[in-house]
Amino acid sequence: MSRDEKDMLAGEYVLGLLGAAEAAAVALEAETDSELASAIAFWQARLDPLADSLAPVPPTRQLWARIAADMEPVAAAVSRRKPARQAWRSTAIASLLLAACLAVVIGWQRLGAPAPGPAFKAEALLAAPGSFVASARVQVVSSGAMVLVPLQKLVVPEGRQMDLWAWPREEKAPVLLGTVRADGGATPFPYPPREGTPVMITDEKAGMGVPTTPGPTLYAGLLTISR
Amino acid sequence: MGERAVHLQKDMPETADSLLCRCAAGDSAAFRQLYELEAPRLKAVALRITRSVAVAEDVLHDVFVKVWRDAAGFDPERGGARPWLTTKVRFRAMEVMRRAGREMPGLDLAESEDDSPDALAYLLRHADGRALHACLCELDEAKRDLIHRAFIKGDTHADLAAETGMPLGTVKSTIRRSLLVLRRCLDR
Repeated sequence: MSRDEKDMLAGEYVLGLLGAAEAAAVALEAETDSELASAIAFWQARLDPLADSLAPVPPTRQLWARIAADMEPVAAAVSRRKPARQAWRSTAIASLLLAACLAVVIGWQRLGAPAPGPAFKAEALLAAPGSFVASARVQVVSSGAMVLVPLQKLVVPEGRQMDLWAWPREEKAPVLLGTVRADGGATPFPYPPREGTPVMITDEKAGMGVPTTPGPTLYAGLLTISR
Repeated sequence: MGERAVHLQKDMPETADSLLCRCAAGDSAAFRQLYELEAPRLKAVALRITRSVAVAEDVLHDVFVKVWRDAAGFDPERGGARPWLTTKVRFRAMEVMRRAGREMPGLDLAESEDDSPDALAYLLRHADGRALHACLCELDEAKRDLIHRAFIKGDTHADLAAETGMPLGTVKSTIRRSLLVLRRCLDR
């Protein structure tokens, strides 16, 4: 992508003109593409005076009370701000995850109907590093399962397999959720769905048993909470 | 001289940047200050997109709770706190409106109630906005209006096409070309 194309894409992103999937892909890409990240920061900063042109509107007294009531305790909020986790997230998206981890394999069961109903609690669009197009969507449904729906044909080369990983806040390392079928499926996800939980599909050698570290990232994304 | 320097430092007003950095360290007093400083400006932003006082406050609630939780995600090297907050509010407001199909019940803000000054006139009067003003003036009024509507009202390509009567493809290409003109001008 040329510099001009990145500038235009970043401008459209900041203006809010992209669709949800495309915007999520741009945000993901900007985590590893410093030129795109700079272009986004440029537009945010240079268009911001337009926001200042609006007459300020004082909030109601109730608003602060609502916000204060929903603030996490300081200790909980700070304890989650671990640099290692941020670093893992960036690295995962850059396909270079190096951290050692303990894997737990959970059976991967195919669902009769891969597309869930409206009861899902969180979802992530998974895009290949460098791509603006999501290749798969995962959704955490109310029964506690994570459902994977391919948005494009997921090609698994001979002798390889794709594994699904997530790093919930409760875990010290990424957790292997199961092996991905090309046509999608569901696996138990025994964690509370949380905004920003990294989810990734990795490339693994088939028949090598349970991997203890994720292989190269094929697709990655972050959970967002549905409202 | 030393005392004078310390005195100036103490009197320096807190900026959104410094407050947000303190929030990342779990300073709830800084978070309250950040709210006092930024909420009126951000409510105006949310209000123009949602056109509902109640929905705009819901948007601010969601964004501020998330900011407190994820303040460490703010990277001062990638830009200032104010644009970072504006983007969060605009994106959340647009998301809420799009999920509701832009048919939010109980819309309670009439166009006539908006007493914001003319945006171009405002930009010209303020140092931070002069460069943007000069560059927006390189676009003709119709193109300028598309950029302004998208930023302020949260209009999508489809909204803009419907409101202006321009074909959708023309709206998209016009905005992309306008962004390039703006970028080159703002880089000068």
